[in-house]
Order: sequence, then structure tokens, then C-alpha cells
Amino acid sequence: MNNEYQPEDINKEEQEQLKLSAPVLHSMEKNNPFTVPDGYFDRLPAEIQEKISLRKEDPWFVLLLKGILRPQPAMVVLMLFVLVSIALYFADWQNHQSAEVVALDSADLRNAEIAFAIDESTLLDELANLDETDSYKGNETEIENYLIDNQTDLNQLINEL
Amino acid sequence: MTEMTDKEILEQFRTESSRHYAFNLLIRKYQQRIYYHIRRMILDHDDAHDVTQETFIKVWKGLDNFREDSQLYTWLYRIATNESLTFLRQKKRRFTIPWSEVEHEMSDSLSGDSHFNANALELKLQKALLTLPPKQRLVFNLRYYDNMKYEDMSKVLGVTEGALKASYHHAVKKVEKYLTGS
Repeated sequence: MNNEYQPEDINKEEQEQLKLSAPVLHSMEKNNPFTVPDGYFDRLPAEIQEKISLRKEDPWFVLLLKGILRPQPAMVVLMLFVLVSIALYFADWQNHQSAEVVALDSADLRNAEIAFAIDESTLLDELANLDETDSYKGNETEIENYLIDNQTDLNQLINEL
Repeated sequence: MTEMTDKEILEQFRTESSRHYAFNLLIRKYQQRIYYHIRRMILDHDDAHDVTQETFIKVWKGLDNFREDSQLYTWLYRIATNESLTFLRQKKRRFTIPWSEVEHEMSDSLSGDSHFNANALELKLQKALLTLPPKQRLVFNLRYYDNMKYEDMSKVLGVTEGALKASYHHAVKKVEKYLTGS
């Protein structure tokens, strides 16, 4: 196959058609009315080559930046993957935190319930039911501390007992 | 000195040591055809000069990736055509005026152009061509002035041969109407 530029001779049929449809156009000589300065085509190749050499390539860091900023499919997919991973990790971390808080709350709640359920009278009865000798001696300090801690009116207690 | 074939030029271009030499040969082989193709669209010499330079710079950048299963000259013409159409679009946009105004301005500037040498009828022909839409003007120029085959024109413009023939036929009619003043 010949790849060279080959203008076509306008065939007779087309010439006849032109003559019929456009007689004025057909009668005109195909002159080139456009002119150029003297020696223009002698200088043009050198001018083009000079312009090419003057247009330097972007420095490496500009090319890298352009490469990063250009919306390439692979980069978009990678960034999406990173973002999704971060989002999932963060969501998992938050869930873990919540579970711990719930656990703590439950433990505290249980202790609070126990403390609330046992009133002073129940505690004192329990203490009184213990072996008098041993428990009295052993628990004397405890009782005193308990009474002091709870600001119990000793006189009132003696009267009630 | 016999002109190098496109194949020979491309082979030389692919060798680092002869790259610039090959490109110089390529410019010399095609510069007039490409320049006048652009000039017929843009009309002004200085503008055509700029667009021609840009065309060959793009050729330089893209020649490494040029696949030799297509013809070099249709590829060159395609780049030149796109650069010309881009220039005309930018001209229209820059002045925010309709295409008819752009064509008026170009038409008026023809007579005073120092690089335009035409008799009255030839001047009228150029003004007639400016009344055509840019792409139809392209079709007319490629067929009437360059005698380009419709098969090659189809590769340059990306339009079917049938559509190109119809477009040329209508362009001829419009031009004739303008020339005869009817």
C-alpha cells in the first residue's frame, strides 16, 4: 500500500457536473491568492525546531504532581480503597469504645444497686447476729468506723436499743 | 535530490541521532501543503504562521506514537485541521461575537491584506467561502484546491464519504449563488 500523498485528478464526470451546476466557478483558474513573505518556507523549519527546543519539559516534581492530580482510574480506586479502610477502622474503633463504656456502666450499676439494697438496719442486724464474743471484739472497730462514717447519733442509738 | 518517503522519514525519526534531521525533512516535505491548508481557513498570514508552528510542534510530540498502519499525511492534515478549527473557535469566543461577525471581519480584512493577491473574482470567491460553515469550507478547500480523495478526506475529518460528497455538492451550489449574485 502506497502511503504517500496522492492528489486525485478530478474525474470527467465530476468536471461535467461542476460545469453544469457551477459554470462561473468552473470557468475560474485555480490560482492561489495567498502569498507569503520572501524566503518564508526556507526559514520555517529552523523556526519550528528552535521553538521545540525552547519548550522545555516540565521538571520532575511538576510531572509527579500532574500525575497525582490527574484523575487516573487506578489512583481513584486506590484512594477510594484507602478512604473506605479508614472509615471501617474508625467505625470498628467506635463500636469497641461503646462496648467498654456499656460494660463499665453495668458494673457500676450493679454495685450501686447492691449498695442501695442494703440499708443500715440490715447491716447492723447482720453484725449483731455474729458471735458476740468474737464478732464483738473483732467487729468493734468496724462498727465504730461505720457509725462514725455514717454520722450516726450515738445517743439516739442507745435510746433505741 | 529525490524526496524521502514517509516510511524512510519515520525510520530516521525513530533513531535518536537522526531524529532532528528526519523531522526537518518532514517539515520541508509538508510545510507548504499544511501551511496553505491552514491559511485558507484562517486567511491572515501571521495567524496561519502561528497555527502552522503549533501544528508541527504537536506532530513532533506525537510522532513517536504514530501508528504506521495509517497514512502520515492524513494524520498531519487532521492535526492542522483541528488546530485551525480551535483557533477559529477561540477567535469567536475571545470577542464573544457570533460566527457571522467573525466571518464579516475576516472578509473585510482580506482586501487590505498585504499577503493577499487576487483579482476581483478571486476575492469574491474567498468571501463566498467565508459564508460557508467552517467544516463545509474545509470540505470545499480539500476537494477544490487540494484535490484530496474523499477516502482520505474521510480520515482527516472523521465523516463518511457520502456525507462529504453531499457537503461538497452543496458548498459548490452556495458558492456559485454568491458569485453570480443570485
